[in-house]
Amino acid sequence: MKRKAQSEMVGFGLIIIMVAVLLLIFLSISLKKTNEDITENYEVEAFIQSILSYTTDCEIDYGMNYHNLRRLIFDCAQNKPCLDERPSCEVLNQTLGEMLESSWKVGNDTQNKGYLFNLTIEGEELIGFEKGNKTNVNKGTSQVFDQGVDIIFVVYN
Amino acid sequence: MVNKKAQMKIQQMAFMLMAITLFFVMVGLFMLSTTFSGLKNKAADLEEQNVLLMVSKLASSPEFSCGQAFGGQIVNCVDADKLMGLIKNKETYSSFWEVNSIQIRTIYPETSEVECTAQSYPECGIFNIHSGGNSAGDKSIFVSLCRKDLEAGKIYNKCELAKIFIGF
Repeated sequence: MKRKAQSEMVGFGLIIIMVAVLLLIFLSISLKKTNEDITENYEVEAFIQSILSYTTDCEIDYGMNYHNLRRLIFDCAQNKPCLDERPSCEVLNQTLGEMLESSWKVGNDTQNKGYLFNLTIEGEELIGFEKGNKTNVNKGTSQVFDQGVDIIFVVYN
Repeated sequence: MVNKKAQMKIQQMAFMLMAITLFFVMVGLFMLSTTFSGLKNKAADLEEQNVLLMVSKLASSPEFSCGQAFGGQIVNCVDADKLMGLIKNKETYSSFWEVNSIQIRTIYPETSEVECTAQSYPECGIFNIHSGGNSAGDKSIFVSLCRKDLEAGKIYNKCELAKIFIGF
């Protein structure tokens, strides 16, 4: 009789322990902090918004009207040249490359380990820059324009 | 005999209930400690978010922003000519800013590490708007630094890539 009561007690206790452990696992998964950091993504967004207004040296006409980078992207998509006959894509490629080099220092001893910049038109890559190493911790943004132009920029920490 | 058996059963049940209650109390304490251990980190993250929002707000304030001077279409636009006005009146504005330091640096095209004054502007790269106190907690954000430039007798809008550094 005593043994029956004791075995019932042990069985009941085991069930309680199993339920408690499952509850703990469920709670730890639901309360887990996500890796997404909205603040740092804003830093990358501000970079893209700021570079689009940059005044390039690609002239539209003889009235000292220079393209900004946003306009240059559309001209590159349509293969329009600058006034001095330079291909707009060449100017765009050079300007973007230098901007990225100046703005995002990449290396093993820096906060940023690498970056990826992609400019696509209707899914096809127009210009791409990649430097450093890709990591699991990153901050990025995507800007969509008219005519199927899309900019994706990711910085790896 | 029957009474004793029943009493034993009741006693066993009572002990079981006490043990379960104690166990759940321990589980609850463990969960609370796990939850509250992340609160400090969350508070620090929130403070950093607020700081970065404040940086963005400062960059968009009338003292810095381009307004309609450059067509009103430019996002994150800082007027370089306004900055020169702020630099000239640095003493007047010293108590206006609620931060320790404000500096704007041209990132692209790369310019010399020359501080902007009435003599060096626009051939300079560093605008020291406000400096004072310990600026160990610097936060920064990219902006478009725009000004009116003169070439071949014609005025046009010229925008460069810069960064605004705020010290707290």
